[in-house]
Amino acid sequence: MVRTPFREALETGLMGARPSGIGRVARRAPLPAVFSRAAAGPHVRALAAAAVLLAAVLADGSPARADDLPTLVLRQHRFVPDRIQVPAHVKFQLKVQNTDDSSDEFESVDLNREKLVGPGKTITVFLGPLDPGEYKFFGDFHQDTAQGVLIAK
Amino acid sequence: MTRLIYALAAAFTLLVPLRARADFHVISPYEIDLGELEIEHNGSASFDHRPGVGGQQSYTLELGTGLTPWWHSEIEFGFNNDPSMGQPTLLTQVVSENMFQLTEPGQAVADFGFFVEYGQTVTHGSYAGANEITFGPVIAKEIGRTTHTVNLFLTRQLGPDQTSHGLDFNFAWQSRWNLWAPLSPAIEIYGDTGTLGSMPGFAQQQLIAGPVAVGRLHLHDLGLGNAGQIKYELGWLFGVTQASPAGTLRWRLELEIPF
Repeated sequence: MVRTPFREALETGLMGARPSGIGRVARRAPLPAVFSRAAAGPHVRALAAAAVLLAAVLADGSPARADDLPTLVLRQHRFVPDRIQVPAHVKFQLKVQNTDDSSDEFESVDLNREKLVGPGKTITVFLGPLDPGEYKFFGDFHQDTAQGVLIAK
Repeated sequence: MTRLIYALAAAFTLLVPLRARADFHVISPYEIDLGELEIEHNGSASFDHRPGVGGQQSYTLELGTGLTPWWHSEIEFGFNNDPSMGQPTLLTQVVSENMFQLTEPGQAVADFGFFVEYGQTVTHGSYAGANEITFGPVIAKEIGRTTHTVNLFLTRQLGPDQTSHGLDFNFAWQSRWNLWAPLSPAIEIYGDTGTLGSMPGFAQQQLIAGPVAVGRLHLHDLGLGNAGQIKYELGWLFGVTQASPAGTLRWRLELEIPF
C-alpha cells in the first residue's frame, strides 16, 4: 500500500518534516472544547470505547454444535445434493468433497465463505450459527452448473 | 501455530527499523484467493476547501494470489499525486503485501489474520519518500448477516528519507451488512494516530468515517464466462477531526479469475 494523502498529511503536518497546509490549518484552527482537555484523555476514552466495542463484537453466544451432516459432493461440476438442510442457531461443519478432476472453489456470499477444493480433495467449512433461512452457495470456477442452497431450520 | 510463526518471521525479517499503511481498504482475513489471480485497483481523492488538504490523490494497481491455503500475497504499484507539493502523478512505491490467515474462518470465536507489507520507494530527489513496513493483526467477526472487520497496524519508515523514526499506529474498521451480493452497505472508519509515544492531540490526528457500498458481480451472470468475479467498493468518508480532509472519495475494483 502506498503512502496516502492521509498519511502524508499526518506526517508533514504533525512531524514538522515538511511544510504542509493541513498541519498549519489544523494548528491555527480553534479546538472544540472536547478536544482541549489533557492530551491523554481522549486517547484513553477512545481506546476504552474501542475495547468495549471489540469485546461486544467478539462475544460468542452460541456454543452448540451439529456434527452429523451429509457431505456435499462436487460431481461433474454440480453440487450433490444441491439443497442441504442444516440446523439453525448452532455451529456446524460442512464437508465438501470434490470428485472431479479439476479444482473448484466452494463459495457463498450469503455465508461469507470461499475455499478452494482441489480435485479428489475434501475440505471442511466451519459455519453458523445461522438464522433460519436460505443461503446460496456455488462453485466459483463453474458458476453455470455448480449452484446450491443451504437451508437453515 | 505454524501460520503464526510464518507470519511473525515475515514481520521480523522485514522489521529492520519500520512503517506503511493502506490506501483506504480494510484488509479481510477471508480473502486468500488460492487458485485465483486477483487484479485490483484502489484509489482515493481528498476534498477540502483548505489549501493543501484537498486535491490529493493516490492510486494502486495490484496483482495477487493465494500462495498456500492460508497465505495471500500481492505485489502492488502505488501512485500518488500531491498538488500542494507540486507533485504530479508518480509511481511512488512498489509494495509486497501479505496476509496470513491464522484461524480457519468460523472455527474460533473470531477470525484472525496477520498482515505484513513492505513498501519500497521508487521516487528520488524532491519527491523522495521513505521505505515503509506495516504489520499487525486483522480480526473479523460474523454476527448473523453482518461482518465486522478491524485492522490494527503499526508502521515504520525505513531508509535515508524517513520523516518519522518511531512506530505509527493506524487502524481501520468495517461493519458490513451482507444484504445482497451485488450491493451491500457498510460503514468504515480509518484512523492514524501518529507516532506512538508522541501522539498529537485528537484534533490533530487523522480520522475519517463514512458509508461504503460493497458488491460483487459474477462474470457468469454478465455473460463473460463460467468463472471469476468482479468486486467493487465505493465510499465517501467524512473528516472527523480538524486535521482530516472534509471528504474523501475512495474506490476499489477487483477482478478475480481462476487459473
